[in-house]
Amino acid sequence: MDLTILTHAIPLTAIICLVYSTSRFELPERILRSAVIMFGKTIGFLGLLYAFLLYLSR
Amino acid sequence: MRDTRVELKNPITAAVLAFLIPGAGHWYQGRRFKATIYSVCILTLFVWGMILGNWQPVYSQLVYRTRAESAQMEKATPPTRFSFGYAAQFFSGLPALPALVQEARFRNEEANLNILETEILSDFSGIVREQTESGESAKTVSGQMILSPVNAAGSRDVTGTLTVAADDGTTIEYGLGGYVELGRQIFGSPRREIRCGIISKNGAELATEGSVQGTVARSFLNWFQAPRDSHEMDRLHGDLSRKFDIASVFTWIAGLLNLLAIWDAADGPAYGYGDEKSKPDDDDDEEEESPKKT
Repeated sequence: MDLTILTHAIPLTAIICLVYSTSRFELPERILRSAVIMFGKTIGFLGLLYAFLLYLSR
Repeated sequence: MRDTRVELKNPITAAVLAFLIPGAGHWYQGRRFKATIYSVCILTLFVWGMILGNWQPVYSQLVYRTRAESAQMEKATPPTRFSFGYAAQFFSGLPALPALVQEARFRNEEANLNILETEILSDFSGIVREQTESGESAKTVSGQMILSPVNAAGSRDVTGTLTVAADDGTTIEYGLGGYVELGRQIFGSPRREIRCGIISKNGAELATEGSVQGTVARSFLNWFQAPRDSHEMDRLHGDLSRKFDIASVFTWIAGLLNLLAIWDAADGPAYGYGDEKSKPDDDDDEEEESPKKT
């Protein structure tokens, strides 16, 4: 698997989480907290999915 | 009901501004923090996609293959179909609107493929064909082309030179002449097709016919976000591989994210101000959750 291509997913996820959270709330602290949590959950899920696919492809 | 602490000013004006430039609607409303996030994130994503895709992921129309060898060489405006990706890219606002201008220019162009109006001074890549005693020889070359119309006002007859490097390291200069055929002026490819005759080689007149067929540079304003055909898409996928797909997806996502920003500018934040008392079964991200707007 091409890791260079895969690394694009990290900043992309960060941008999506930040913009999504910004559209949900008005308070900066609430926006940032929500974005960080959402980012962590999304990257965690993608990481698990990647690990599972890597396991299957071995 | 909207949170009264969020000052939306004129929501329609804010929404239009948010559409045109991501974040501009919020800046107009005085919501500077959100304006900065929307602007930086969405524009960065859009430009990042454009850079990954050699500034070519955005186009509104895909040109069908035509009877001509290439859609560029089709005199009548070729049939096109809408690019569904553009439905998302469109919401990026001004950065994606040149595609509509280019579509209109493409449709309204009175393509004259047999007239050279101004001098061409460009790199060239293509094929040189010469008749030899043993038949026709064709070889792939790249070099520098200078081509001018015989009449200053523009003409079908052209004159010029094509300088290429030979296999043995020497330079070959072909004298160009005869009639010219040019690809359409406005087309979504940085390369414009061209064909014309060869009349001499290294100063010696050719005893038999020869011709060059290839591409020269097209000006940025004539290819940027313009409709293109599947030949050009194949070339892009060949050159950039998956990068072009990723670039396209980035520009789509940028447009879709700006939809959220437009909605926020017109109607305020979707969940509320952010300091409301939480409900355990609400929201999507954590144990401390917010109710709907009150």
